Order: sequence, then C-alpha cells, then structure tokens
Amino acid sequence: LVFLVKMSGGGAKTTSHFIDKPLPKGKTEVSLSAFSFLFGEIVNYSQTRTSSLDALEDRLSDIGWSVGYRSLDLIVYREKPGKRETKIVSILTMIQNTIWKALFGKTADSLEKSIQSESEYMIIENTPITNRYISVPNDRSHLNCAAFVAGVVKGVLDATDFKTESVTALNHLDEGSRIPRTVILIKFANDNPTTV
Amino acid sequence: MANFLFVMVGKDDIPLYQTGNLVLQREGISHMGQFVVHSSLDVIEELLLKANTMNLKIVDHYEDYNISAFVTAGNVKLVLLHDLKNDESVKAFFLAVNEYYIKILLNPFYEINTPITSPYFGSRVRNAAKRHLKP
Repeated sequence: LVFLVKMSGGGAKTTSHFIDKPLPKGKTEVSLSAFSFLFGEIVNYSQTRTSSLDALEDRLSDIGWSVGYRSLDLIVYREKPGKRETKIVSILTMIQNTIWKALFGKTADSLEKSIQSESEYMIIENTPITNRYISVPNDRSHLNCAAFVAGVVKGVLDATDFKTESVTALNHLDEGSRIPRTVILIKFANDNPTTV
Repeated sequence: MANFLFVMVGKDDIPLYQTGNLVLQREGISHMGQFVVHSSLDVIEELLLKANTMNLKIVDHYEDYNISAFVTAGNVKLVLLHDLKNDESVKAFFLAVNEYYIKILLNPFYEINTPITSPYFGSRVRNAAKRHLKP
C-alpha cells in the first residue's frame, strides 16, 4: 500500500483568475442610489476637468461610449447569442429593447424616424436615469446629462459598424404634454451599406 | 491537435491576437498563413453585409485547408485556417474564444481594438484549441 501524503502549503489561497470565472448569465441589478451617486461623481469629476458645457457633454458621451461598446458583447451573449443585425431599423430596435432593458431595466419609450431627414432617427426616453437626480442650475440649462446615454448608443453603433455622424441628447418639450422628454438624436452617415 | 492558424482581426484590419502551429511554405514568402487569412478578410466582409448569424462556417479554401470565420457582436473577426472536417468542433472553439474575448473587453483598462497581450487569454485560447480542434 502506498500512502500519498499531501502537504498543505501553508494556507495558500486558491484564487481563480477572472478569465476563468463564468460570465454571469442572469439579470444583474444595481440600486438606483448607487448608480446616482456614482454618476453624480462622474459629472462632478468631469466638470472640474472641462472648461465648457459642450466639453462636459463630450466627456460624458465618451464615458458612455466605452460602456456601450463593451457591454454590447456581453448583452448580446446573454440575450441574443449568435445573432447579429445588418439593417438600421433592426439595430435601433435592438438598442431600444435589448440594450435598454439590460442597462435600464425597461425598454426605451419610443423609437421614431425623422420626417425631415432620411438618415435621422430618434430614441425617446421620458426621464433617463442620468437626469433624475442631477440638478442643473438655470445658467447652464442646456446641459443634458443624457449625453452619457447618447454615448452609450453611439458606442453600440460604432461597435456594430453602423456609421453615424453624430448621436446627441436633446431636451424636447412636446406641444401637447407638459413632460419634457429626452430625445437621443441619431444621424447616420450616408455611406452605410445597409440603409433600410 | 490539428494544424491550425488562428487570428483575431479588429476594426480597420488590426490584428488583435494570433496563435497556431501551422507553417505554410511558399518560395520566398514567409508568413504565408497570415497572407491567406488576410486575403480571406475580403470574403468575410462581404458576407457580413448580409449575415444575421455570428458563425460564418467555412468562408474560403486554400489548397487542402479551410478557412472558417466567426464574427463577434462588436464585429471582431475570429478567423481559423485549418484542415478539419468537423464544423461543430470549430464552432465550439469559436464560442469558447468569444467568451474569453468578452471577459477581456469587460476590463476597462483594455484599450478597445488593440492587440490582446494578456498571457491568461493566450493560454486559455491555446487550451481551447487543444480541447476542440482535434483531427
């Protein structure tokens, strides 16, 4: 009989590297307060490092871009594995439904095509969570923190090779209602191979 | 393990990762494998305009070898030059690499569309190749 004596190596920890941990497949949720604190700090931090409102919006948009680009792969892996979109309307519908649901817990309120221009579309969200707890003083009333959300949309579109000229967030007051809505305006470039 | 060359190509044809044990010889031309993979990118890009699936299966041939491709959600092309007959094992390999790539992408310090230098990623991809790419 051979006895194998295993020596325990003095309390060595077996930590697994992140690359071996399985990707969480279920829904993961973060509290709104945690997000609002973090986002408030992001706005503060960006504000001290930019000199104009436009630069601040660009900063928020860039941060959102990185979020959109990276989380696209994870969201598709979880929700629609193996599928990809090649048409503008399908990718926008995917953003309105799948991406919005994964990031904000709900689908975007509406997706519209602009009457004025062939290549402009709008995703409408009544109160994006980025704007709920950020108070904007009157002298900077045209700052829209939903620039972050516009950045997320742009990140997703850049990752999926749909060329855009710009993706911006605008405050829009509908004539009938008194609720200001936030409109994410997406201007597609003309040289997209798949337009419809 | 079968003979293979695996390349990951990002936007603007930037190579993100490469591994393999295949050495194609041609007089005067070294790195023939990369040349073949690069030339198949045109075919892949055309397929991308219409394909609704990520797994493009076999997209091109070169001598006795097949070139299979898989596109991630962010349009990163995983291209495999190989001599396997089994489509399923290539698909399993691609799915495994896709998972590792997603984890790399989730690292905020990884700059998007730059070569992946993590040795952990490299060893996991090579292990996946050993597991799935058997002749």
